[in-house]
Amino acid sequence: MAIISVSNVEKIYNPDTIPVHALKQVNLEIQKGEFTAIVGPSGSGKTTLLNCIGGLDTVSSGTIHIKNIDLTNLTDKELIKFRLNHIGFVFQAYNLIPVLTALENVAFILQLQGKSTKEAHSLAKQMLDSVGLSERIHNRPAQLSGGQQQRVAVARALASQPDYVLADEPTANLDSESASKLLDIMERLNAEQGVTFLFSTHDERVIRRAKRVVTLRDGAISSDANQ
Amino acid sequence: MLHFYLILAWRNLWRNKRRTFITMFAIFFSIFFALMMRSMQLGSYGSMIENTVGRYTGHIQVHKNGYWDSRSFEDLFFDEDESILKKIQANTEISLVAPRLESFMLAAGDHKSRATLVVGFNPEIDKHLSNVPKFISEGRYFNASDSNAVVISNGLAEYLNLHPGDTLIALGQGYHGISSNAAFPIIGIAKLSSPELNRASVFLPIQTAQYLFGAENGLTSYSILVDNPSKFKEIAHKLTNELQNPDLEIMDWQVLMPELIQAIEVDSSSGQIMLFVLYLVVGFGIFGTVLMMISERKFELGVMLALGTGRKYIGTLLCVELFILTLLGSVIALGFTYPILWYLYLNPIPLTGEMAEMMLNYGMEPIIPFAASFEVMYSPISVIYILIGLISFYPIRYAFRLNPIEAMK
Ligand SMILES: Nc1ncnc2c1ncn2[C@@H]1O[C@H](COP(=O)(O)OP(=O)(O)OP(=O)(O)O)[C@@H](O)[C@H]1O
Ligand SMILES: [Mg+2]
Repeated sequence: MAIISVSNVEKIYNPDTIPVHALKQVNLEIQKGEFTAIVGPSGSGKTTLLNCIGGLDTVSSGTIHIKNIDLTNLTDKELIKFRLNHIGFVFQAYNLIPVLTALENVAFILQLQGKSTKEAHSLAKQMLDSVGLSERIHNRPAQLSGGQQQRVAVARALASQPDYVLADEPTANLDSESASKLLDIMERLNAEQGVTFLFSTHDERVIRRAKRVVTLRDGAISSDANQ
Repeated sequence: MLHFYLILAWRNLWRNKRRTFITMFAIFFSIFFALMMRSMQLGSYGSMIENTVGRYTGHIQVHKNGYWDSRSFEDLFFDEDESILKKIQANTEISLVAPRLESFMLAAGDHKSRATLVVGFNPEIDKHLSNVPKFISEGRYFNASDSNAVVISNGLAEYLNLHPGDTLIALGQGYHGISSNAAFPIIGIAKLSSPELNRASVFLPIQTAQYLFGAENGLTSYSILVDNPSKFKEIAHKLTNELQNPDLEIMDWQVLMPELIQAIEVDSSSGQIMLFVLYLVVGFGIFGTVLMMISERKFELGVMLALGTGRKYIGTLLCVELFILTLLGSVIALGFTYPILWYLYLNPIPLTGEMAEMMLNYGMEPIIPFAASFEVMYSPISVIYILIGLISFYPIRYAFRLNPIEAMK
């Protein structure tokens, strides 16, 4: 069974004023362990689709099932809890809490899940270790490079052991070396631990490393290919 | 998790040190100012009350039922065996009981006359209440051997042009309408603090007064001082229960002197209006800080919500920050202001020049008194916390309306 199945999703922004048809009849299935890129020109609906799959935005019609839970039926409160326990997020930039150290940023999610501080810190340390940041765990985001911050974000996304990780243009703010290092880590986690990744990107080098590429055009899927 | 709230809130506060300090200073300043002002007000009311109540009326009075309304000489009570006195004195919270027999007479000198209050009292006991010996400006106060002598107020003495050694003629009516006329040697003149009393009062030993009015053992009142003036109401109530005497009325000074209460209330409310304006300004200042605190963290709060942080948690976090800020500001303000108030309470600011002259003329100490009671702190502190409580609706509302996508744009 697919982890994510998107069926007949439509998204219309501002339906009452200046309607923008951002997603049109989108159907998509993602299996466990996939490493999929969503690509397409600017304004094609990549972010919109990821937001809907991430339970951050609502669809206008259609359904989004995560395993057998229909996200479109959940209340705001249920969605928050669902995101905490089932989804890992990596955003484009600046998505760490500035007053917390790398370790605390990762542990924070675990504590929200109800783990003790001690347990959360020891798990967070392991996660930071696996993204190659064991030396920097006590640094605050401002003391880390953009690439390092994104690696902390990946560690945070994975710490809660989510069903899948969503990343909206995770490399957009990184230089090519940092971007490639981040991709290495994501690939390794995917290969070794079977983590499911779904990310959007513009970057040709990143697209090349995806195992499956879904292309959006004007809000509709125009191609979907494994590579 | 509470631990985590506190760490996060604390670090967030120090992200913008200058703003945190400015806001804390606003809280500090408003509490400091409100405390000083309130302390001065309550201090001056305290001294107003002590100057009138504590220097003549007493905190509580016991009369024959109906006397206070009728002021009639027919409404006397008699306490020959002192059983009433003993019951009152049995109360440990009462520091002084002064028996009095008061009436009005016509006082005359050589050429003029004036209606005057005549107070028969126990000179030994009443010197602690009416304080007459403290105000003697000419001659002397009573000693144990004086029975047929009077002390008169300065205003009356000036009007009648009388001095110690002269004779005062008193004409009037006594108990059951008998006519009472007498001549008394004047032994002293007193410059009293209350203008009303100073205008026309005559003091004489109570036995002499009872004889003059043909009312042996008759009393118009027992005037009572209590140890703790703030507890007068409770004590008056207790006394009513203890005396269990339907022939007597027990009144506290608030009933006896409604004008004083009114004067205090008028003054107090004008002060409250000023404080209200201050609180309003400070309230908006704090609100502004809260707005900035939130808007510059919009992105971050959006991320927290997206990651699965509950709205309640986000709202609480913002409120904890606000609360820590207020707690720091108010604790520092109290720690700083209270010792000053306590010092001023023990060492009131002395007045000089015309102000001092004026107060001395009224027989009052020329000082600005301060109060340092719980009451002083109670209202400014509670108002600040109520303000914070109201302001905290905003972050809570914000947390419940936050849209993660909007916030992370
Ligand atoms: N809040 C909104 N209100 C109205 N229209 C919106 C809103 N958000 C996105 N859109 C529109 O929806 C369409 C899809 O936007 P989306 O952000 O999903 O594109 P994208 O593929 O992520 O683009 P980019 O590569 O530039 O990030 C665009 O036409 C955009 O203008
Ligand atoms: Mg986008």
